[in-house]
Amino acid sequence: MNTQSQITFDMAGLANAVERLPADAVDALPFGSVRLDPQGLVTFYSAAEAKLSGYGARPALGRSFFAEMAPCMDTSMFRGRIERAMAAGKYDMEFGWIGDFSDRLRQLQVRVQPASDGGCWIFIRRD
Amino acid sequence: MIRLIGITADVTAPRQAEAALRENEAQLRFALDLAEIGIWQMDAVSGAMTWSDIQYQLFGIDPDTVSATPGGPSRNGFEALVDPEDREILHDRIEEALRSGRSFKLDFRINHPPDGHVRWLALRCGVQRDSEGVPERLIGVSWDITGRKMAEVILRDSNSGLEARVAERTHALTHASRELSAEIRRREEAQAALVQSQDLQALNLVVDGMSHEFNNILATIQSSYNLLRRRITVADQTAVIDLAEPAVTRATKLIQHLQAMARHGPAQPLLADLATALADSADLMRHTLGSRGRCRFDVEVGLWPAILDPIRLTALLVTLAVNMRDTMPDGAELEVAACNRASDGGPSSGEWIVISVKDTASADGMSNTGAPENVLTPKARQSGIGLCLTAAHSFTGQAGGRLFVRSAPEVGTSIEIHLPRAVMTGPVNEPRKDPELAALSGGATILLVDDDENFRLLTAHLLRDLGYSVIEAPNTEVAIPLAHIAEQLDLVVSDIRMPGEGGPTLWRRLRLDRPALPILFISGSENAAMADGEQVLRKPFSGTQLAEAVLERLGRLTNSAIPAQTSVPVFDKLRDSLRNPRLRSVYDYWRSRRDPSGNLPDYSLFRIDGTNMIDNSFIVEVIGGRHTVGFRFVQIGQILEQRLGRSLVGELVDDVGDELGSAGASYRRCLETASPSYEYAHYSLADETPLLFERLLLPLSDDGIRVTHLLGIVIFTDLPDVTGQWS
Repeated sequence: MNTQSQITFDMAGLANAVERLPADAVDALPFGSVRLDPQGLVTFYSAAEAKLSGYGARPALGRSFFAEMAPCMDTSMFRGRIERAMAAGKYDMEFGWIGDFSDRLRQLQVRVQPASDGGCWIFIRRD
Repeated sequence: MIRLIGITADVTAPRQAEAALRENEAQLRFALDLAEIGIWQMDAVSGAMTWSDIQYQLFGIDPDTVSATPGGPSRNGFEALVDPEDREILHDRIEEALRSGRSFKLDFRINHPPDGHVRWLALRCGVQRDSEGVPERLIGVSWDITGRKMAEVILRDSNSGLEARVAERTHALTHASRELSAEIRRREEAQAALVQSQDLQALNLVVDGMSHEFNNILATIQSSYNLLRRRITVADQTAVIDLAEPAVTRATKLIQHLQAMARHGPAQPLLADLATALADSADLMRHTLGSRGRCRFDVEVGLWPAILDPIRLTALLVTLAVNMRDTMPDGAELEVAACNRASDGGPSSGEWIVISVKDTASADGMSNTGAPENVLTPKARQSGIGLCLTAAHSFTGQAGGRLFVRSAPEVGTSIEIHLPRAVMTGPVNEPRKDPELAALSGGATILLVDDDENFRLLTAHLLRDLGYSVIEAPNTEVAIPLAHIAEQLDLVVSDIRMPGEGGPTLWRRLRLDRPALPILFISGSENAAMADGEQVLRKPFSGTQLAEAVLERLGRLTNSAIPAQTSVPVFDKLRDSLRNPRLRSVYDYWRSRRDPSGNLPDYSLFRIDGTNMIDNSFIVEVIGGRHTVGFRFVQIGQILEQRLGRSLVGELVDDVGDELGSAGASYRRCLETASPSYEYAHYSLADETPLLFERLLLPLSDDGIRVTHLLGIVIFTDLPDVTGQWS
């Protein structure tokens, strides 16, 4: 079993490892964690994320930002691929933004991985 | 004796008649042949027939083969040639003619031997009787009418086709007409909503402008009090200030509420004490509703906290109240209630704070757990409620809550906002102590630029009190020469909106001489987001806030809320995160095309192919004015076009989301910050090759200042699946 210190934002089975931690350990991770149930409702919102995001109730991510990144990703074929992968619980997606925030020194990375209940985990790292 | 008795008869006449008859017959036959009319005779008793050559031709039969058969053509042979479907009719008609002696007409089909095609023949048949009137033989003529019959069939088909088409078209037209009526109705409704929203927009503009003015006035008053407090030490005099200052704070808060209602700035959610937020709302609602609407508040003691933007909550409640008042029956009362609600099981399990707004006529008419019923009565729809509900939806969505709406004639409208209970406790930000700030302050020269003279004078006093040297200027035109001749200049404090050139232009021009010069923008306008990520000190502000912001800008406070202005490292940092060397070279090229003062590269340099990556690039132009920004694709590279399967050129960017991860939002941020941005997305999906999407957005300009176009470079890379995590 992973201890909190062994968990990094970039590790392969991040969601898996985080799910095994007690809630206070998740709160203490250096990056934010949010868990959505299969309907997209927030079921867990780590204190780290609350603090880092300035107490926004949920990350300001579009519901299907996986495909809305760019017009040429937003095709029925690609959406289909994502839906199939999500239905199968086999996906690992990472998104990064830099240079376009009110605080331009800040970089944001988001990782999305399947949760064991069919929903998903969203991890958010800011630096 | 033998006698010869001779009879001589003159046979000239009969012979002549016979010859004439033959000639007539020949002529007739010739005419019939020419007209391609076949002629035949049939013996009434034996059924033996004689056919003319044309008759043979009509049936497609060689005359030699039939004539050679014993007895030649016969009635049986004739009938056998007729199409089975018409054979019986022909047989019966012949029988009848032989029996009755009456002639007949018939159109019938034959199977034409050479090609097996069906041909139509017309038949006219007459009966010749013997001297006793008994039918002796039939004489018939036939000719080919296939062409006519075909035409008839085609005509009939096309008639029925035409009828079908007419029926279909009629159906379609009926449908279209229904659709059209519905569309007209929808448009009328939309038109009404538009008028309403235009009214609201106009009102918003007025409120926005007035708020701006009020903020300036309040800023002056607050600065005066700040100044007085520093100068006055007599206890009973400071007590007066103690009384006055909260009034300014309260006025400031009201103005903030007004501004929040007038415009859609970014929400500022925080861990909110709902009881306080609702008390604020109650105040504002009573003011807003005036004498016409009575409003009752019922707020549970010990209401749980929620995470939301309290100003938005107030704005929403006031807007709802105003609109509901208009649809309320006379004498009804508006009731705003808030309570905690814990429930387990069912779709609404969990802990919620329920805020309801209803008129008293509708009390108890609400289902607590039912699905939202966005059914509005026409009267409610005509009011602004529909628009309010959009705002309510957006608000509750943002707060992670849900909205329940019910509206019916006689019952009125009731709206419930369910907000999830906040499960965290917020850290308390230690307010800085004034003496601490005072110790850090002073010993720097500040250029203060503001066209509001009273406000500028008072702010200058405050700054001087803190130990700074202050150079004052009423506008950019004066500020620039003053800055030029100043020996020392450490900071510019400037209003954003001023007559003539505004604060941003001032700063750009000042930096030509002093590239590292920091600036602190101040503004009375709520949404004054600045280029280059500059944060803005909003008017009115307290002396402490000003002191703090100035120190932060001067780099004397470390853990600052407002980051020190550093432009170059930002770009380097962005460059470092460009792992793809192709993107890095485009980025370097873009940077090299900025002029020394930092103005944006010229659009024309990139339109053709300044980057050697035209296949991977796209250009959008910025369209619309200040408040309605949009983008249109003007160029799209081959690789992107192939991936999408169509060209986007000429299309508008229809994505209006403001969340991260939406392409439109990225374009807008690049436009607003006038600086480059980089995004990537790494998709590892089921058993497929992982895909890396990278996009670099670079702002371009026609005039070096205004962003007029965005250049995007997009690279797709298939990555090796190093993790093998799905296998």
